Amino acid sequence: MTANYKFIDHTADIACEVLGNTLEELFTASVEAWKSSVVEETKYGEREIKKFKLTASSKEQLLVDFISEINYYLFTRNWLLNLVLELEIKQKNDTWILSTEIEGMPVSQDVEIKQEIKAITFHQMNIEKRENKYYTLIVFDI
Amino acid sequence: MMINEIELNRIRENLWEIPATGNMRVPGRIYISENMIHENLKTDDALKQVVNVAHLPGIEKYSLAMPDIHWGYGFPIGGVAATDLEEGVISPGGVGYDINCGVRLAVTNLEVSAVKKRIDHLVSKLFEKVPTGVGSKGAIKKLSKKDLKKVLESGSVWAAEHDMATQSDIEFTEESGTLENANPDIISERALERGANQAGTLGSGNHFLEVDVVEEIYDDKAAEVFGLFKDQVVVLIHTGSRGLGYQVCDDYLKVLLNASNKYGFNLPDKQLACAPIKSSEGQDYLSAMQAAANFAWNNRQVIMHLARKAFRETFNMSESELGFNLVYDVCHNIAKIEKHKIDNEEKKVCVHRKGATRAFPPGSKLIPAKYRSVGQPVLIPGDMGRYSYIAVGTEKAMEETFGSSCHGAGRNLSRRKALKDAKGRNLVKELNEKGIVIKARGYRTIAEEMPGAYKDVSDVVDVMHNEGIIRKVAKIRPIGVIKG
Repeated sequence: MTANYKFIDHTADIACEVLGNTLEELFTASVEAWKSSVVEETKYGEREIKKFKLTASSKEQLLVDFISEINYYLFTRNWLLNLVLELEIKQKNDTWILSTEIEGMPVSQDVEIKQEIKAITFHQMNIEKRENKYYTLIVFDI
Repeated sequence: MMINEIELNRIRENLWEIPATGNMRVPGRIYISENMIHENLKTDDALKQVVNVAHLPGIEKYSLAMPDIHWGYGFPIGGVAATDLEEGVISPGGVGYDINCGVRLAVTNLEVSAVKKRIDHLVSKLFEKVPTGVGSKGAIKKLSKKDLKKVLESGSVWAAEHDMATQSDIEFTEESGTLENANPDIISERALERGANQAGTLGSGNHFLEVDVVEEIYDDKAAEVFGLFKDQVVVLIHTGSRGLGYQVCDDYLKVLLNASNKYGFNLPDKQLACAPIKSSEGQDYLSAMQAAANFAWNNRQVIMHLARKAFRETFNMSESELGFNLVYDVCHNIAKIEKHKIDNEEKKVCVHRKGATRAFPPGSKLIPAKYRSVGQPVLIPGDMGRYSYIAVGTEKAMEETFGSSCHGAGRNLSRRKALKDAKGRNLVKELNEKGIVIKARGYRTIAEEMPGAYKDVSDVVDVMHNEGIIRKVAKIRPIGVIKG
């Protein structure tokens, strides 16, 4: 795995730069950045699998929707992601399609949530190629 | 002067203009001191965001910013813009994710000398009664879908119907705690799910409930009208529409991004996604936002009810002895249809206030009759270690800022820097030594929200006071704080 993320300073919220060789790696690294923003190292108990599909009119919208979905699982359904097991992103005409299988668990009392992320923003998000890698900035509103 | 390649021309001591260039439809105007420009505006993109907002179709007069301006999403925090109802747009970026985030101030009959002795107990009681922190829930029974929709439709009135608000609480809430055209039927299932068990919860981040003491009075007449006196114990509550509001914003950003393409708007920032106010997309967002705003008013009302109970139990007092009365509840993240004078004619516009507080003048029919001799209370919280302000709106605010003023201090340090600064310190003890008792879910919040992480709110308030947009009435100082 060569995908990666790096937090950069932001006065009010959380901002990070994300890189990936493929869109799939970029999306996975983005979710990992989200996870390290909301929880400390966590021991996972009984694991569950979730599968879902998303469609969007742009790859940026698709990324926002993907992390928002996982954010919703945590802050509304009390279910915390552990790993992205499978992820496929395709473009069909003007539509971007994401299919994924993720693993996680219901949140118990001993999981320490660092902070609530209100939303995944579009602020300065622009998925582009930089030196043969996909790059974007992501800002989480907290 | 040039700041980040943006030209700023001085109009008055604390008022600066960005001339309309390129595709800007109006100039930008920022209320700020020269010092604050150098200290705060060089390091972020807030000025660029003032410029971006000036591109919105139908924007009237100016893209405005208050002195607590800082980087936001789409609009800067502290941004104000009014748009024409026929030709103009409405944008969730001009409201924010936390729809109707706001502040309410209640006064008690208690003096600080009576409360100080029991402040530890009071803060613990408040912490026990008011759910705080990430995903906080369960202040009141989880709302059924029917009840939740009623809250979205009627705001604080729902609380009154369930014995959690008095008629006076309703009267002294902006818009009487209900925006009438709210439509709960266009709120997504996901937003309803996020809000169902969050009525009466404080949440996390910069939201708080504070017990304060009136430290200084600047305007005797207005203070008397608001029921404020020196050394009095008052309560300040800051929160918004919780997960429900965030989800409504998220849902409609998507709708309005598509609408921006459909109507051919070429916008400099995706977070400025918008639709013509009169379009179906614009009307839907307006009604959904109004529903979320009603949820927020009910939320602050239920919290006030819980706080009132905590005070009564701590001091063993009847309601009339305690006198826990609402002075006012103001929202600072909202878009409202209001009448304003433009080119000497009164017209209806959509005023976006994103991190800005309504500040209507004496005589306004939109403020409670009791306050018409002095003007609308404007509540401006600072940080938990220093002070907050109570001010009043003026006629000049109506002339210059669409009846708007600043909303708070604004962060000085990022959360990461604040955590770093807090290392090795005992902030609870430091606050205790200043006479402030704090209780929070975790130490991390206290560290991230420590006083040094915020700018001095008095700098912000002084700009608006000196420019005549508001008049200072009183300064209050915290003695007890609960946070997420």
